[in-house]
Amino acid sequence: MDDLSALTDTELAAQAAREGSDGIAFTTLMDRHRERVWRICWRLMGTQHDAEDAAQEVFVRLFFDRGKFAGRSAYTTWLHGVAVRTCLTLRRSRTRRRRREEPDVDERIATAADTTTHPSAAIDASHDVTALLDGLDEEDRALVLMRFAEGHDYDQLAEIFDISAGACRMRISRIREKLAATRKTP
Amino acid sequence: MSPEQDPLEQLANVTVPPVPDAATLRTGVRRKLNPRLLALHVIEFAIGATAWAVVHMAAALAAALRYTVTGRWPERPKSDDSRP
Repeated sequence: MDDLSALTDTELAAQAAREGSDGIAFTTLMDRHRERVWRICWRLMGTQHDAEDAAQEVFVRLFFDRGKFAGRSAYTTWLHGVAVRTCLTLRRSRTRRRRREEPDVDERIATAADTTTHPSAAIDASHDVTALLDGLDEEDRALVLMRFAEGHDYDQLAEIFDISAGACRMRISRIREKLAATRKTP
Repeated sequence: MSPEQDPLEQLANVTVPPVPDAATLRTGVRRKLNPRLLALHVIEFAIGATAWAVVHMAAALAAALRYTVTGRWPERPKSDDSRP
């Protein structure tokens, strides 16, 4: 077996783009990034089963998009963008499916949202930081998780979410205000 | 707000379960990837075959269309064998 561990991500990506599905460069890329991709998937999806499914889906999408890396950012940032978009797509399709299968789910979501503004619930939510994020829009939730849980800077967030760094900063500032208001609401 | 009080800063402390082993991930990826690759190849083949068939049957198709419109088959140049 060729030793590709000395190659950079960009070199591996270029080699993977010329290979088939069982190519060694793609497998090496997968092994190299699986831990970080797993963390992102788990944080965005919230359960072990969904995270495993999402991580597999990320690498399937990476395989089909392996020739699209243009080198405008670091390979890891580009890959994390693929991971975030995949997770958001999966979460949206699951929500749609749940709505179709359980038509009263909107009512239950509204009830759950009401309880988060209840004082005791707000105090509990402050202890469970992930519960706080459930009231956010999917993309805002992902933005916050990538910024604070995964430690991406604003330039990386801009690349991942395909918006400007200033817009990222602004959105996070608004999310902070929204969360603070949720916690203070009596 | 200090970092200790900011709930967003606490997100980094949320424990993430250990990553599944590489073999499980590879198997899962392959299980999803193979049917899609097969479907993609079938579609590519179908598109390629259709294009090939259209190119090779263009004259016949044009003649059939002309027959539909005019009721007459286009005249073909007589080959040397059929000449007296």
